[in-house]
Amino acid sequence: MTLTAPPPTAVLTTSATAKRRHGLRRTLPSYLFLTPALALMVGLMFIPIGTVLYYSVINYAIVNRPGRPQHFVGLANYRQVFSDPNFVASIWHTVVFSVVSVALHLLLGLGFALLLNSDAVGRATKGVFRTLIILPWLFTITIVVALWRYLLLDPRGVVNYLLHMFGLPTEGLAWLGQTNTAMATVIFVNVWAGYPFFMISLLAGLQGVSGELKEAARIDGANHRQQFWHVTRPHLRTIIVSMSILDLIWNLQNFSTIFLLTGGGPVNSTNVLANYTYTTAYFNQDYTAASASAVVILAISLVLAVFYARSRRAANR
Amino acid sequence: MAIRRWIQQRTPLAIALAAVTVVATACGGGGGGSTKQADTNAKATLQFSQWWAAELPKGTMEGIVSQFEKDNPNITIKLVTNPYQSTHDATIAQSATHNMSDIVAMDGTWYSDLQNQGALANMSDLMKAANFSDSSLSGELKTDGSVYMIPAVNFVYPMFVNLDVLHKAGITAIPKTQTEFKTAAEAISKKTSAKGFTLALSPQTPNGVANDVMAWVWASGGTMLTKDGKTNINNPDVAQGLEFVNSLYKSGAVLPGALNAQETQKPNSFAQGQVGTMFDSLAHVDTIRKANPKLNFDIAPVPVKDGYTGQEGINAAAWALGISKDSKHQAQAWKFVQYLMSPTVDAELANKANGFAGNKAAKQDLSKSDPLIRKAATIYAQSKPLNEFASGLPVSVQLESDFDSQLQKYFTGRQDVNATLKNTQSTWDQHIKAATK
Repeated sequence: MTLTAPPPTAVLTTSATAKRRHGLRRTLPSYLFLTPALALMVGLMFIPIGTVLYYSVINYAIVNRPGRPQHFVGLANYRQVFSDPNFVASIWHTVVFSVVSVALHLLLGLGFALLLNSDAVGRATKGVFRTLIILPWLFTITIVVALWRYLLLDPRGVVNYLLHMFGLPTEGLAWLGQTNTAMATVIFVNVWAGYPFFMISLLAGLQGVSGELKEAARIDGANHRQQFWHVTRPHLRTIIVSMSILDLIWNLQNFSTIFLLTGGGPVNSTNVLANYTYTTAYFNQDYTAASASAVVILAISLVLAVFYARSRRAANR
Repeated sequence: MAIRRWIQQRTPLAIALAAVTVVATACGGGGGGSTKQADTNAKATLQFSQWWAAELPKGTMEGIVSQFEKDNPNITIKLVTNPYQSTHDATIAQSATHNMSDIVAMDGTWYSDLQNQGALANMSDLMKAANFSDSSLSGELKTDGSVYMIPAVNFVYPMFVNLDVLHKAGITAIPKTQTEFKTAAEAISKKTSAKGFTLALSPQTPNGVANDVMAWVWASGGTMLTKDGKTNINNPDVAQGLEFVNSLYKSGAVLPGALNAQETQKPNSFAQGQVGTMFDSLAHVDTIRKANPKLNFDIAPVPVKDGYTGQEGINAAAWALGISKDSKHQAQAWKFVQYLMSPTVDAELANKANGFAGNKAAKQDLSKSDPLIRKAATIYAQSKPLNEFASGLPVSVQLESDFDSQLQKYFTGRQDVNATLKNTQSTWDQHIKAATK
C-alpha cells in the first residue's frame, strides 16, 4: 500500500483555513463578551447622537407635517440658530456660567480640602466638617433648587431677612427675578451644589502628598505659601486639570439648575445653550433647530473631551 | 494580503456590531398601520392618558371607569396617569410616532400642534356614526367645521381678594374697575405689609401672560385675535391693558420677584397674606383653605376698564378630550368619551374638580360645595369664558414665551408698550409661519 502525499498547495489552503477557524474560535468569545457593552454604546450613544445629527440637517423632525416631504436642508438649521440673537446671547451666558462656576468650584474645593487636610484642625472637628461640607453634593438637583428657591425667591425670604438683620438693604430684593442679580445667584447655587466633588478629589490628592517632601521644604526654609506652590501644587496639577475640564463639560451641558431656578429669565439674562435647546424643542416644537443647537453643545464638549483625554494621557506617562 | 487579514481579523467585531444594531433597531421600531373597527361591541382595551386622576380626589377617575366597564363589559379602560406637563410631552411625542393613547386628555393650547400632525380623529364623524347630537356641548374646537376636541370641565380664573388686607388698607368694597383696583392695590402696598397684586411671569411656565396680563384685556372685551382667529396683538385694547399692568408694576404694587415667579407660587403667597389680590384658578380654593384655614377671602370678577359696560370676559382653562386618529378602536373610544360627557358623569367630574361641566345639560349640585364655588358659578354664567392662547393657535406655548420675553423687557423699562406689541407680533408671525409652512 502506497500513501500519496497531498499536493503542497492543498496543504497550504487547508492549513490557512484551519488557522482562520482556530483564530475565529479564539476571538469570537471575546467579541461576544463585548456585545452587551457594545449594545449599550450603540443604543444609548451612537443611535441618539446619529439621530440628533440627522435631525439637524433636515427640514422637520419628530412632529409630522402631513403633505410635506421630509428633506435634507444642509446647514440651514445651523444658519437659523446662529442668526437668532437669543442663541448668540446664550453662548455668552454659557461661557460666563461655566467658567465662573468652574473657577469657584476649584477655589472653594481647594480651600476646604486644604482646611480638612491641615494639622491645625482636630480629627473630630475634621470628621464633623467633612460630613457638613459634603452635604450639598448629596442632594439631588431638584432638592437643591427647591431649597434655594425657597430661601431666595420670596422677597421676604430667609436670605433677605438675615442680610437685613446685618443692616444690608435687601428687603424686597428678588435675587432670581432681577436681571442684575439672576446670573450671579444661579452661579452661586450651582457652586454650592458642586464644590464638594472638587473638595473630595483634591483632598484625596492632598493626602497623597508625601509628608517628607513637605518637611524637607520646611527645613529648607520654605514658608506655607512656598510649600503649597512648590510641593503641593505640582502633586495636585493632574487632578486640577482633569477636574476642571470635566467640570467645564458638565457645566456647559447644565440644564436642570438653570431651567428649574429661572427658566432662562428674567429677560433672557440666564438663558444658556441647554435651556435654549430645550425651549426651542419643547416650546416651539422646532426639533431641527433644537438639534442644531444640541450639536453645537456636542461639538464644544468634544473639543473639551479631547483636552481631557490628552491630560489623562499626559498624566499616565 | 494585509487588507484581507485586516478584514478577517475584524469580521467577528463587525458581526457583533451588526447584530447589536439590528437588535437595537428592532427594539426601537414599532408603530405600523392600523385598522379601525366600527363595531362598538367588539372587545377592546383602550388607553386613556390624562392628568385628571392625579388632581381629582383619590378614586374618582377609577370609580367612573369602573362604572363604564360594568355597563360595557367588552371595553376595558386603562388609565395612564401622569402630571400635566408629562402628559403634554408624552402626547406630542407619541402623536408623531403614531403611538398616542386611544383617548387623550388635552388642553386647548395643544390642539393646533396635534392637528398639524393629523393626530386627532374627527369626532363629528364618530358622533354621527353613534347618532349623537352635540347640541349640548360647548367650546369644542373645530377644523373645517368638524369637531376634534371637546372640553369636559371648564375652570375659571376669577380675582381672589384677601378681605382682611383690603379692609386694613382702608378699602371697603372689592374693586370693580381698573381705577378702583389701582387705588386698592397701592393702598394695600403702602398701608399693610402685603402687596396689592401678584404676577407670575417666569419663562419656565409662561402661561402667566394669559392668566395675569391678558386676563385684564379679555375682561374688558379686548382681544389679541382678528375675527378669523389670526393673531393681532398690536392693538389699542391690548396696549391699554399692558399700560395698566405696567403702572401697577412701576408703582410697587406688585409682589417683587414677578419676573421669575411661577403660577404655583401665587396661591402660597396669597394664603400667607403676602398679597391682597391675585387672579387664579378656582381649583385652588381648597389649596388656599388648607394652607390657611383662617384666611378671610372672597372671589370676584376681574376688574374692567373704566366705563366698560359690555359682557365681561373671564380667563378660563379646560380639561378636554380627543381621540387618536391611529386608534384601532375609535368607535369604542367615542363610547367612553360620550359616557364622560353624559350629563351625570360630566357633572360629577366637574363637581369633584371644582370646575364647570362642558355639557350644558349637566346639572351640577353645588349645594354642598364651597360658597366660593357657588359664587364662581354665577360669575361663569354671566361672563364669557375664554383663553385666546388655547383657541387653536399653533405653538401657543412658544407664543406665550415670546410675549413673556417682550413683557419682561417692557416691565424693566427696556422698551415701551408700542415696541413690546410690535416685537411680540413680529416674533409670533415668524414662529407661526415656521410651524405651519
